[in-house]
Amino acid sequence: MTTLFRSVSYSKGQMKIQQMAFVLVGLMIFFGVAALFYFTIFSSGINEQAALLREREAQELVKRLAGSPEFIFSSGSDCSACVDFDKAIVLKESSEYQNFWGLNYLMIEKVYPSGEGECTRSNYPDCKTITLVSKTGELSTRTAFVALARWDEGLGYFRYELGRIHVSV
Amino acid sequence: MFRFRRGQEEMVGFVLVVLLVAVIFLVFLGISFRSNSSVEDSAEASQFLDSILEFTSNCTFDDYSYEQVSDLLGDCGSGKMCLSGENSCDVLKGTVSELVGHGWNFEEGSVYKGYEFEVELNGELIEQLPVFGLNFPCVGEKRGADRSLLTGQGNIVVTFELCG
Repeated sequence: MTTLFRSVSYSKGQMKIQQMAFVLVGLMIFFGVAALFYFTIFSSGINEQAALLREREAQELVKRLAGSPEFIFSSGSDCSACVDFDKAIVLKESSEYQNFWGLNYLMIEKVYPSGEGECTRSNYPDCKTITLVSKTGELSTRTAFVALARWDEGLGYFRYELGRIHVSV
Repeated sequence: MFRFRRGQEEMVGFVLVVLLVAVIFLVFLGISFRSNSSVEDSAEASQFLDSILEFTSNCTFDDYSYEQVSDLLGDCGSGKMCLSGENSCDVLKGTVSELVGHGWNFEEGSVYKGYEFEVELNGELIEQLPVFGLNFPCVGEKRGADRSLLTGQGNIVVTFELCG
C-alpha cells in the first residue's frame, strides 16, 4: 500500500513537470513566432529609412556641387538651387576637370524645356545633357533636381530652366 | 474523474492566456503601424520645389522681363493678366503641369501615383489652384515639401505633395 502510494506521488510530480514543460515549449514557440512577425515588419521600416538617408545623401552631394565655384550661379539672383549651365558647357571642354571632383559620373540634364542629344558648342542650349565625367564600370547614380541658369541672348537676361544633376561616386 | 477535469481546466486556462497575449500584441501592432494623415518630408520634392520656383515662364507684363514661377504665385493671387491675354493663374497652372509632367513619372508601376500643388495667399487657398495630377484625392502615403515666400501681395505658402 505504501509502495503503491509512493509510486502514485512520483507519477503526479512527473505529470506536473511534463505539463510545465509543454507550457514552456508552447510559450517559447508563440513568442518566437510573434518576434519573427514583429522584426519582419520592423525591418521593412529600416529599408524605408535607408532609402530616405540615400536621398538626403544625394541632396547633400548635389548641394556641395551646386555651391562649388565651378557650378555656382552668382550672376543673377540669390539662388541656392541654381547651377550655371553656361559654366557647365565650358567645363565640358576642359579635360583637367575629369578627375577634379573625384566622381565616376557627373552629368547635367535639362529636363524642361527638353532638348535632344549631348550638348556641344554648336547645339547649345537646344540640347539635353552635358556629361562632365564618364568613367566605365558599374555605376549607381544619384540624381537631384536643380534650376539651370543661362544667359538668353534673345531675352537679354538670365533664363532659368528645370534640370537634373546625375552623380555617381 | 477529478484528475481529468483539472487537466482540462488547466488547458483552457492556458489557451485563454495565449489568446489574451495575442490580442494585446495585435492591438499594439495596430497602434504602432497605424498610418497617420501627416505628410512626410521628401528631400526630392523639396529640391524640385526649389528648382521650379526659379523657372522662367512665358508670362510677361512689359515684354521685357518674364515672370518666374515664384513671381507668378503672387501675380495669380492678384489676378493679373499677362501681356498675351492669358490669366497669370492659367500660365502658372500650365507651367507647373508641364514641369511636373517632365520631372516625375506617374505611370503604372511607378513609386508615385499623383501630385498636388497648392498655393495659399495670406492663409487662404487661391481658388484657381491647386493643380491636380492623377489619382487624387490621395489614399496612399503622402510625401512633399512646402515653401513660404514673402511678396508684395502678402505671405505665400506653396506646397507640393506626392501621392504614393
